[in-house]
Amino acid sequence: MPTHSMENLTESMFYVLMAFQTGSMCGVDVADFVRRHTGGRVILGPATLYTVLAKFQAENYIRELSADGRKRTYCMTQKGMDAYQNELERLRACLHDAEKGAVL
Amino acid sequence: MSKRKNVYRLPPCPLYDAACMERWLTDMAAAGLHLDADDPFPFLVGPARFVRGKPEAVRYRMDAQPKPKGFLFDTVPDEEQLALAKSLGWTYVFTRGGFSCYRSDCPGAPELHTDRAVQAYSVKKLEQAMRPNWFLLFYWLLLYPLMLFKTPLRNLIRMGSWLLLPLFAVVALSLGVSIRQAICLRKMRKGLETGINPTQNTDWKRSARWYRLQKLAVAATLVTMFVLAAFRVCGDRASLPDRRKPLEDFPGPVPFATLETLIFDGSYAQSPAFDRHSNSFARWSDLLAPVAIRWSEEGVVRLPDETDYRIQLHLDYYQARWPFVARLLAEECSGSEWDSGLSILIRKWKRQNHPPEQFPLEVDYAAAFFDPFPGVVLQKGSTVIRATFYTWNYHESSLPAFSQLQLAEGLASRMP
Repeated sequence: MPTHSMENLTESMFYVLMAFQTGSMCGVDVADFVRRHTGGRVILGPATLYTVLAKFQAENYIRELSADGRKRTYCMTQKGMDAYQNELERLRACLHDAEKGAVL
Repeated sequence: MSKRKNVYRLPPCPLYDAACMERWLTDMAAAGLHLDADDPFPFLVGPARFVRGKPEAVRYRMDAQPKPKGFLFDTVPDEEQLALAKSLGWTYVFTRGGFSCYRSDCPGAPELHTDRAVQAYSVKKLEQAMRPNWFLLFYWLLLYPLMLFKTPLRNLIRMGSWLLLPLFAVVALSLGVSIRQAICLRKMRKGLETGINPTQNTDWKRSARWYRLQKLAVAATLVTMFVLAAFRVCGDRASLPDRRKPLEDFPGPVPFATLETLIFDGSYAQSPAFDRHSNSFARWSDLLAPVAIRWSEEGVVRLPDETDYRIQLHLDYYQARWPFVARLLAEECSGSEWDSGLSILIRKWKRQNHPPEQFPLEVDYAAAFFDPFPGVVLQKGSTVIRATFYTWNYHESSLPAFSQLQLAEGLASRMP
């Protein structure tokens, strides 16, 4: 758990970026994607999801593509893509270290 | 016998104490009292409105809204957000004070916030968004009255300085609430950042009695203040014409020099009063100045060369309770009637750095001013006199040999 809020990507933030990797989508689609993709292990609460979306928009990780009534569609920016890749690398390194430790 | 449909309950904690509020609303639902979603002004002031129903296991959650619009206006969650919450089993109830309230009676619904770090972030954004409001509060409650309020001490004595006490109480309470809110939000954020469940070990009953007493005290103070202010305003309107009395009705000896004793050359005769304000006085008492007199006198001076001059004297006399109040009053009175509290403070600062030339008189403080007519202020011990005068005739603009210095000397000679 980070000592300061949103210093690193949390699990839910990582999965939100992962959802946008697959293409542009709205908030409901993101929630569905994360639930399906994790087999129900990670469920995003509505307040968490919208706080993350607002944060990512402010950080320029995602941008709004269109607003159709109550549905707003977002897509990932290059900055968001980089953040996702960096986090992926970090997690791979963690996994690698853990597997190395298990063999020893 | 049918029970009332709506019932009202005083909340046991402020809205920003989100964990306590969530627990209280949940306990109320378990007792069959459900927060009324149709209340147009939920939690605006006083008690919250509930609808009586069956006891149910309902979860309430307060979600920090990162972008409140201002001191009074909150950002309501957008429709997409509400639709998503609905699809996950959460119903929106209201938004107030930077928090949106949701309820869920679905046991399988995920938590509103499933990531504490993200929740901590939203509380942090709320803290940041509320900072300008505290500056605004400070401005409106402390700086603005100081800038607006003309000659504050004089007005206070005129209106009744007892009004100051509830005013201070309201200012102190408002600032206290803001500080408590800041502390509470910070504590909540820190807890979330370290992974603590905010609703864990929360007992609203512990602080309820104290908080409700506080609320009642605030309400009682406000009501008392408004009643007293209304009474004072209405009372003043009704009594001002009566409070002004003709000069000849002044009880006992006049404690300051009047025109008759101030005119050194020629003779003086008081004019008949034009209206109830000329040649009249008002005398009242206040906490800060047990004796306060407003004296207006008008007459004709005939000089030895048979020239007639009309002369008017407007004098405020204060017997303050303490000499330091008298000094403050004198400093305040040494400027224009239209000075604001801020300009008085600036003038005081300037005076400390560049002391003005004062009259060589046997008093503690003396100063001259134009407002727009010439005037003087004298302070000796607890006594303050502020006097303005003007003279005219059809040929000359002012009475010769009747200067501010002469007025000051005449007044000072009669000061106790």
